[in-house]
Amino acid sequence: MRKKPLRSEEPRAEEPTPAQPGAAPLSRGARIAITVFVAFHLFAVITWAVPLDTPLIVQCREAIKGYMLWTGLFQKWDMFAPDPSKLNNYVTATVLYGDGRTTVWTFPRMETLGYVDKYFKERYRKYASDNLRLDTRAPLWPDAARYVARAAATPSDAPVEIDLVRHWSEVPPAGPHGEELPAPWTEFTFYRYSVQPGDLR
Amino acid sequence: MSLKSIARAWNEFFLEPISPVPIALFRILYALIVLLDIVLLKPDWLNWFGPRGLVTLPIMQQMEPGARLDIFAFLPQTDFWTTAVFWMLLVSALFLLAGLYTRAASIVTFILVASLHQRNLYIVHSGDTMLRVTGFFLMFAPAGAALSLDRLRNIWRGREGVRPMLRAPWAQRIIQIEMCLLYFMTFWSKSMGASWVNGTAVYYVERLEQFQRFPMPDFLRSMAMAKIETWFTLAVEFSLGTLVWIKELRYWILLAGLLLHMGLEYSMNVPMFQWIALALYVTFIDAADLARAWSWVRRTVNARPVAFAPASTRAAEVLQAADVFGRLRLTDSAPRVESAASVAKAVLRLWLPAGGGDSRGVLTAAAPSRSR
Repeated sequence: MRKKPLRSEEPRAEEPTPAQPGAAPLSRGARIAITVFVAFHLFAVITWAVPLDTPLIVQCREAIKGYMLWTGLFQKWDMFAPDPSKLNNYVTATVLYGDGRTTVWTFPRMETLGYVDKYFKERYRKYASDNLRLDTRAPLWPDAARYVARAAATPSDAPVEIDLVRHWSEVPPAGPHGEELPAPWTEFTFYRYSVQPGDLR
Repeated sequence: MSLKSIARAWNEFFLEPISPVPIALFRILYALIVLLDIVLLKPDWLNWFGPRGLVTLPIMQQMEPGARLDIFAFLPQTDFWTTAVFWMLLVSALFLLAGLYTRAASIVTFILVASLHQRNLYIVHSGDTMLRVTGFFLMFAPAGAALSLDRLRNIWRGREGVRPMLRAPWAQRIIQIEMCLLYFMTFWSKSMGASWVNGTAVYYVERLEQFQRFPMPDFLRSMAMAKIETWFTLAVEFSLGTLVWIKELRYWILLAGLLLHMGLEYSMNVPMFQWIALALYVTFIDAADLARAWSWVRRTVNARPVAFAPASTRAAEVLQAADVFGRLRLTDSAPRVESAASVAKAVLRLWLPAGGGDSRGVLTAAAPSRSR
C-alpha cells in the first residue's frame, strides 16, 4: 500500500492545482466519435433554435425533426419576443347543473393567489392563459371540460353542461403624461360541452 | 488560419482535460432544481399527468405527434403508475444530487424529466426546456468525477487519488453553448420586435397581472425606468450570449446576469426559471476560482474541527476528499477509522453539524494535526 504523509493543512481534495492528474488520454477513435457527436448536436440545436425560417433552415429542421422530437432536444428561445404579449387574460368555466342552477369555476388565477400558492400553481397560468384559451388548441377543450365537470360535481348535483369562457383585457399604452389608463375586460364563450354520464367517473 | 489550426482549436476547446468540479457543481444544482420542481408540481401531479387530468395522453399524442421519449406511453394509464413516476424521479434526483451511481442516475433523471415534459407540453416553460436539454448533455458529462459519493467509493477502492482527475469537457462545453443559445436567440428574437427597440417592452410586461409576484416600487414602473430596464435586458442577454466567452469580461457579465435574474425572480412569477438559468453560470466559473470562493466560505464559517485517526492511506484519502468544510484533523488520539462502515460514519460526521452524533471526535479547539 502506498505510504505518504497526510496533513490537514494540505490543499483540500476539490482544489485543482496545475499538477492535477488527468484521466487516461482519449483514443483516436474516441476523439473522432466525440467530435462527430458534438458537431452533429451543435448543428442540430442551432438549426432548431435560430429564429429564421429560410427554405434551407426549414429543410434542415425537417431532416433532424425525428431525432429532436424523440430526444426532447427541440427548443425555441423567444421569451416575450419578438414583442411581449399585451393581454391580461384568464379562463373560467360556467357549470350548468341538472336543476338549472349555474356556478362559475375558475382555473387558478395567479393575481388572486398568495405568494406561496403562486409558486405551486403557476402551471395553471401556462396551461390556461398560454394554451387552453387559444383556438389553435381546440383539441384540449373536451378534456378540460370533463375535468371541470368532475371537479364541480357533488354527490347530490351533477353538471350537465360546461361552458369554457375566456376573459381578456389589453394593456393600453401609457397616457400622454406617462399615466396608466384603464383597460376594459371582454369575455367570450369559446366552447360548450354536454357532460356524458361516463365523464364523471 | 488553416484546417490544422482549426482542428487544434477545436480539440483544445472540447477535448483538452479540465477540472470536473464546475460540472459536478452544476450536477448538484441541477438535481436540486429537479427536486424543487417536482415538489412544486406534486399537489397537482395527477391533474397534469394523470389519466383523468387536464390533458389526457391520447390528446397529447394527437396534438404533438411523432415518436417521443415518454415512459407514460408505455406505462398503464392509472393514478398509481402516474404517481410512481414522481417517486422514481425523486429517488433518481436524490442519487444524482449525492453523486451515487451518477451516470445511471443522470440517465434515469433525464428520461423521466423528458417524459414529464412530453406528457404535458402545455405547462412547460423555457426554463423547463433548458432543464431537459442540459439534462441530455449532463448524461455524457463526468458529473460524478468530483463532489460525489462515487468518487469517495473510487478512492476507497484505490481507483483514484485524493484529487479529482481532469476530464475532457466536451459535454460541459455543449451545456455552456446551450446557455449562450438561450440568451443570444432570445436577444435575436427580441431585436425583431418594435417594443424592445423603442424601449417600451418592459412597460407592458410589468402590467401583465398574471406574471406579477412582489409589488414593484412606483418609480421602477415609470416609462423612463421601463426603457432603461428594456435596454438593460437586451444588453445583458446579448453579452451572456456572446461576450461571456471573453475571460476578462466573464465575471462582470455573469454578475449582470445575476442582477437581471434576481430582479426577475422578485418581480415575475415564473417558478424555477431564474434558478435554472443561474445554475448554468457555474459551468463558466473557473475551478480555481470556485476553490478560492469555497475556501473563503470555509474560513468565514470556521466550522468546528473533527479529529480522526485513519488506519490506512485510503481511509485518510477518503476523509480528505470528503472534507469539504475543512473540519478534518488527523491525530493518533482520535477515534480510529478503519473499516468501510467506520469511514462512512466519519464522512457523515464531517458533513453534519458539529453538535450531532458521537462527540468523541469533535475537538473543542483546533488541535495541531499530526502526519501519520
